[in-house]
Amino acid sequence: MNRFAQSRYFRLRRAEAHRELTPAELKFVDQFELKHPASADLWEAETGAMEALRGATLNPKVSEGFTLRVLRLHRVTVTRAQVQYWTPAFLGAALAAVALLAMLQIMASSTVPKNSEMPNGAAAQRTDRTIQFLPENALQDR
Amino acid sequence: MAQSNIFSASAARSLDDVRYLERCRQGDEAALSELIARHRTRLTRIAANILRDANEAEDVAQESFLKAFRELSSLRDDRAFSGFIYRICVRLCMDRLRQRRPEATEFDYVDTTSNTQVENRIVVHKLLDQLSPELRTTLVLREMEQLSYEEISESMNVPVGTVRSRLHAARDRFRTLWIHATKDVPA
Repeated sequence: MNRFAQSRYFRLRRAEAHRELTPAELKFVDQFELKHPASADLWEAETGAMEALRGATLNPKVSEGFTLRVLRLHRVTVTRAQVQYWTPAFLGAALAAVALLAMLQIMASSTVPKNSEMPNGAAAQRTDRTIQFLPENALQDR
Repeated sequence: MAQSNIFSASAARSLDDVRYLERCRQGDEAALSELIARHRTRLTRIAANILRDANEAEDVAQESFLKAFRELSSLRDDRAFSGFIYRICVRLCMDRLRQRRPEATEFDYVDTTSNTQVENRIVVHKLLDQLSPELRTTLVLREMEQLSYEEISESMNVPVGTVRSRLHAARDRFRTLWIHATKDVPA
């Protein structure tokens, strides 16, 4: 059998559902069916198969909480995206703050000279202690 | 006349979508829920028919909405929202079909003269499992969802010519499988 002719036969049969065939096309279909009854049987099988397919269409009901569920998940997604967007900035700011504090601490401690850097016999003044002065009359009392 | 009515109805729906999308961009949740309500039934039905699983279909519909809202900034024309979300849904369905393991063909031969609608659905389900994701989706969108070639082309992001050839191949394959499943009833 000519496969091209068979393909044309099926194409025309399928097109019948959407438009009227021209007289030439109808003549071709009739002649082809007379010559090849097996193709007509195949076409009949296809019609049955497509009817079965359309008959098996599912039409499920959407569950009641669907909209609320989608909205809640959308809120979660948006919040997560915002957190992901701001997290690097917050991390950077925290790191900068820690670095600044450490730097201030280092600068403060560097103002006190180390014992090793002091000349022999000299005492370093400790800045972290306040000097307690005796009251003026303390010596007179003795 | 009928066609112009369909087009005007579709255009009106698109204009409504545009209004809701404008409000969505300003953070209006009521508009979001309106959009969900307008498209949820059809999205779930398309997914259910492609996947043949109502529960999985709801998951896919949910995922489609979330993805569409997340990628809303990439939508150039708000009037195309409907096509945009259906395209996402079809793509997600095809991804799920590709992830499924191919099942071994086990046919309980069906006598078409006495089969019930439930049996018919089971057979169709098994036959669709034998088709590739591309052929299966094209056939379902055309025969079950009654979409035009242009709409299928837009949903699957392929040229109309590809839709035609896939549909031709899908019908041939489905017919062969159907004949095999229904005509060879053991005595």
